Amino acid sequence: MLKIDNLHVRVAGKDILKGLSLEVKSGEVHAIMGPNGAGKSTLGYALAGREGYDVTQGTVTFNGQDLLALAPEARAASGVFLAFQYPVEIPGVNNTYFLRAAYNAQRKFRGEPEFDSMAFLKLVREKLKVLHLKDELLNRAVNEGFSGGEKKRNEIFQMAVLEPTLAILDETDSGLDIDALKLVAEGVNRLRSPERSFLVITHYQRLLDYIVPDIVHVLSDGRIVQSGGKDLALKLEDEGYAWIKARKLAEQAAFAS
Amino acid sequence: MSGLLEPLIAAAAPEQRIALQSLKLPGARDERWRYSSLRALNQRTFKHQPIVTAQHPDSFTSTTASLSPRIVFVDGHYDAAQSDIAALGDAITLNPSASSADAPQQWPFAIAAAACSATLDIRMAASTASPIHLVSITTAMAQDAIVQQSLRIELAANVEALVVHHRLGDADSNALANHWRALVLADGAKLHWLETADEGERASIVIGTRAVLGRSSHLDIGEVATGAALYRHDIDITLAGAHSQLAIRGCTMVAKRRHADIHIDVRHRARDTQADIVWRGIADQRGHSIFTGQLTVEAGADGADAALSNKNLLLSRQAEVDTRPILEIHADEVKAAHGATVGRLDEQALFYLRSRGIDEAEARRILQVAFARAPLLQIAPAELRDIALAALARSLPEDVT
Repeated sequence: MLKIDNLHVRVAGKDILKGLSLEVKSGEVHAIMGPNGAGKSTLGYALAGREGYDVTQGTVTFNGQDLLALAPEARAASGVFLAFQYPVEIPGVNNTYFLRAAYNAQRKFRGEPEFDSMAFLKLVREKLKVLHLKDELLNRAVNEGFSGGEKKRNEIFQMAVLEPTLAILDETDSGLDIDALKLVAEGVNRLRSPERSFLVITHYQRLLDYIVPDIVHVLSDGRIVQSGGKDLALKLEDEGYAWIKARKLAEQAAFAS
Repeated sequence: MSGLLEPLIAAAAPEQRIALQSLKLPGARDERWRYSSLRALNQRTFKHQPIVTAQHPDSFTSTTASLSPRIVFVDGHYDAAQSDIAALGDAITLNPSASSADAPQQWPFAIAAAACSATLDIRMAASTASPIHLVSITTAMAQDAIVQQSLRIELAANVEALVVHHRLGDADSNALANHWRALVLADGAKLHWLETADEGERASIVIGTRAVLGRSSHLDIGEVATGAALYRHDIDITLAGAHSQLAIRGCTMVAKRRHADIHIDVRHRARDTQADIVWRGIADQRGHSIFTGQLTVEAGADGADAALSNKNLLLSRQAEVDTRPILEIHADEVKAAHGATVGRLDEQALFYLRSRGIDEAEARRILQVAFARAPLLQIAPAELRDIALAALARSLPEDVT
């Protein structure tokens, strides 16, 4: 469903991704791990279409279409969802209003009939129940005054409502205590299905105890340097990212000689 | 004499006209009018007062009929036939030919309006629960004309009233509408005023609103300003009685080539008075939004609490925002705060909305409305708040980019 081939991305004049390739099949959960500055968040933003993340080389194919040719809203409508590492506060915009606008915009884009406010409220209430969230969340401004945990849960809630086919979770675990982490992971696990794939970007292995990935990739210096099963995450946890660096240095030395 | 003055005072009684000829309209060097040039108006040839017509233009009939109780003005003239105040009974008395209200000396437009049109004197002797609608219509007949209106509203002691002033203008009219109104609040009176407009971009509008507040009285002013070829609203408030309170909640939305200049002057004259002003402005395309807010605490007005906030969004390279918050304090025991900002649309928020599937134009519209409505949400009477929010929704051009 998602095929990234030799992706190069430049941000503010600096090359961040330098030939990243990755293939995700329907229903798979892939974890992207890596040290700070490896390009993890850049990958998320580049896939979602953020301005200033310039693709200088490579291709991204999503369900057979060229994802990079689409505007951010068109990517969302075709099934891509990015859960932000730092969800944005939007004062004055009601959470329900925002979600319905997004939901209906996506339906309209796909040529499906829009939901009226009653029908939408019913749908939203069902999702809230599943994620153990309070009704009160609906009447607040988008992320305004939310705690770190509430913001991350609001991201997962949006994902539950919008039902993407590819969900990119950008360090959804950062800033969460263990209870909040479990709640978020539970929310994500409920959304796992054969039609939905996940790209779980994280710095720590901890999240992967709760969202168990099918495949783990290690991202370093803009490239995937190693891929493996879920045990790879444990090895990283034990040995640290220094292990990747050391291995890379050894490779470079071998290449030089 | 500037080109504008002659038509501006043409309708005054002959014996008044001599004195009026010495009126000085604001010139290029007048600091108070720095961002609102009268040059274009001075170069035009206005015709004399438009013919008074008892006929509403059709386009305004349905809007007007839906508002009740209402007091209607057509091209500056009070129109008793179109008005409907039956529901108010004895709570209100109208005197359509009152002697003119005293306009401030530094307001030549107000002086001209008071001299050139009969002042409608409105006295409120009892509180009314629902809003009273003042509807001022500028018709297509007023093309190339100067339309003047003079109004005096007095609230008796402890009376509470809600007033919405709707200005409706023919979309193609290039008339100059000159509004002057004096508001008098007796002790303990409460007036909630909302100013909204639906006017074409070729119109010019000058408004002078002056209020004097008695002891423990309370004035709320709300406004959704959408601008015009020239739009100037002077709001001059004297907190004359102890414990009197003023709250202003407004927003300016200007696009295309619209101009809107809000000029607020508040004087704390008595003890323990309170003024709280929150105004937001958005300028897009070639729009020009100007805001001046001056709060003066006079000597002896101890216990004054003065607050002013003006935030603005500048959305295009050709748009312009000018903001001047001014505090002047001559008393010792005073609480005062003021601030002004000019910024751009939050790019992060824009991307966040788009990443959820909302297209760029709609995302911009959502963020602009959210920004501009913040002060309007603080308008206390729900009826006025709803009218203000609806006016805001109408004010956004479809082609916001």
